[in-house]
Amino acid sequence: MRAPTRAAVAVGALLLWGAAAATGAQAQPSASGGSLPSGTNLLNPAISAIGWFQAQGGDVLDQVGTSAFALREAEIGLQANVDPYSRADFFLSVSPEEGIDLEEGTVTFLALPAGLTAKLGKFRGNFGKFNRTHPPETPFADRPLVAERFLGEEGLSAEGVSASWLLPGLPFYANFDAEITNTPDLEGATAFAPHRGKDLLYLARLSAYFDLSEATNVTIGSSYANGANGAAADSLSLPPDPGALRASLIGADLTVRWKNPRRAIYRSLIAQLEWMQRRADLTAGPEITRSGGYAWVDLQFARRWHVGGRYDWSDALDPTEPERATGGLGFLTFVPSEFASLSGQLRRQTLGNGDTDTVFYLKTTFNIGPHGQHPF
Amino acid sequence: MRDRTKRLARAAAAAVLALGCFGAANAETTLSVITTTPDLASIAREIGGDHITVESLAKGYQDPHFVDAKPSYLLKLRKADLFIEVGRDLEVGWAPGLLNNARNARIRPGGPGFVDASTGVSILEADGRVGREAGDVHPLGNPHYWLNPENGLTIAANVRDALERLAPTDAPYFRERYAAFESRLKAAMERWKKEAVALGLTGMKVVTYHRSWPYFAAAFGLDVVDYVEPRPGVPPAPRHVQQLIDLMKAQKVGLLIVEPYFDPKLPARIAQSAGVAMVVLPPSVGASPAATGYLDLFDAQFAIIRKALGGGKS
Ligand SMILES: [Zn+2]
Repeated sequence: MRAPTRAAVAVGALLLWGAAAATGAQAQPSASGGSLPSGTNLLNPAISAIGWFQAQGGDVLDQVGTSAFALREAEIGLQANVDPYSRADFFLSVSPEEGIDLEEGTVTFLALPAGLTAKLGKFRGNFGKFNRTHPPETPFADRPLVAERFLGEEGLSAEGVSASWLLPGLPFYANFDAEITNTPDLEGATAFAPHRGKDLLYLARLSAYFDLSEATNVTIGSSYANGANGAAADSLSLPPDPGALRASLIGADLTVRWKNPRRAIYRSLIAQLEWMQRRADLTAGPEITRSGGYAWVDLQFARRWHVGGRYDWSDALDPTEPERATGGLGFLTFVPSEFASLSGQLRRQTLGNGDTDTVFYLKTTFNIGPHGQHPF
Repeated sequence: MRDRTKRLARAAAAAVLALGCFGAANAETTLSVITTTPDLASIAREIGGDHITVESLAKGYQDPHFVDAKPSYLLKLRKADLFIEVGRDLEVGWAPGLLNNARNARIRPGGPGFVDASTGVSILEADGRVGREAGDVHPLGNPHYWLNPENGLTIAANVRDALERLAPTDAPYFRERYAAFESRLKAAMERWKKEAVALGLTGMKVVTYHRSWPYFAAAFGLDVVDYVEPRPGVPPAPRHVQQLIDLMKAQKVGLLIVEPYFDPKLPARIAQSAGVAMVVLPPSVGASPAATGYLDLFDAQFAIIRKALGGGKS
């Protein structure tokens, strides 16, 4: 698992910059096209805010440092076109625990040739499905076990460059993403951890989408990430060159959606399966392999009601804790309007040592600001 | 060596010239047009004729506020020369993301191939009070303006101007087709207005499910007194339903108009309690079998209303 050299990375990033700048310079903006309604405030970015308030109870409250009520996060989004060729997106997350954090801050070049877009800045790694979703927008009050154990409390997110390529000439939608970022310093025992500045994270994702019928569609994806090995950083016997050890993560995901387009607001179903496996080099002995995944279903059974459940399984990443934990989460969610939700959830987990833990949550989210994109 | 370069340059110049001539002679451009709704597609077809190919992303039987931004749409948008949207935030939940991901700078807002069809239309309910407490889906005024046939003409003019901009050599063709569409639409408008009067629709008090029909009402003199869903996008409260029934009885409402993408159970109950005829009207081309084109859409609506009001009077 040898990483490409720093020089190659720098050249790649420069080429992307160059291509973006060149396209920007060549494209001709139109004076006559694109008349927008006068009501649109063209010069201000769209500002939105999502609040996520949560109450929890059960075994989790036995631990020190937990609380029954929490304003989990307020997420503030600032989004606008920079010019005809690019847009900028900033997401600040504000929470009592983390303070103010730049969750994502990117400029995306949308006018590149050959079906490419490129993104620079800090962003959530395009690994699998869950990692890209902003926490308040997931249907869950918690994080799937495997996401928490492998990708940390906040998920895989780092500064770098990302390119996305819409594959040409195919009768269906397929996309290839490649990203080079710093190896993120994830919270908790997670898949990667930085050693030196040059220990970069390389990520690739291939995904495809198929319409099975007007109402049903399938998305499949596979992801790969390779970065500095987190386990070695915690080890007492650091190798002479601590950055030499790498870990890789492979992932696969499948999403099935159903919605009758003639009755779009009343009923829908989404089912998703995500699996990932980590291999890590160790100082001594063979590499270790750990895996986990989750599967969930969300059924919208009335205009304002959703019911769903999730099943989790995950190995512990720490090689001294080989046991696998499993768990499940059930939820019933009321959506009074598109902009608010109230969800009662119950989670039960069986840890590797046989202990069980039960938690219930009351999750509420509410958002303000201009209407955003409906999630898909 | 220099000779060879010169020869190459001359050959290249000749090739460019030949291509240029060919391009000029081949005046019939085929532009790829993608619209958000089938009404826009139908009007684009009227103007573009066989010089364009046109396809709508949404179907007429879909609620245009709630269309899923399916990645398969990106394949269509990627190759499009022209993208036409209804605008006024009708498609805000799905079109902007598609345009961001279509890898086609031509059709992004500000690009030469982006058309907001609402340009020049006088928008109703645009009183500047934008607040979620009033529901959300019409923040920039009412976007259902294509339901006044006279606005269809403004849409057609916007399409014509965009097509002329992209294919200047075809301008006479587009203008000719616009003129033909204009005279057909104006003749039909006379006919519909007469029929609206004959049916007693003009001056009639009506209730509609969603706020889709103010432009239709303005065109034919209907008086929309209330809505099943007064705050667009927010389901009606039980108390409102009872008040609505009382109001429909008191005000002698003549018709309850429902869009086909809403569950008809509640409005049917309301109509029955109030003793009012309910019609499911196609709000867009393709929403009913008879609504095959923009002008046929209004014919289809009148046919349904005629039948519901006891028929035959026209
Ligand atoms: Zn509407």
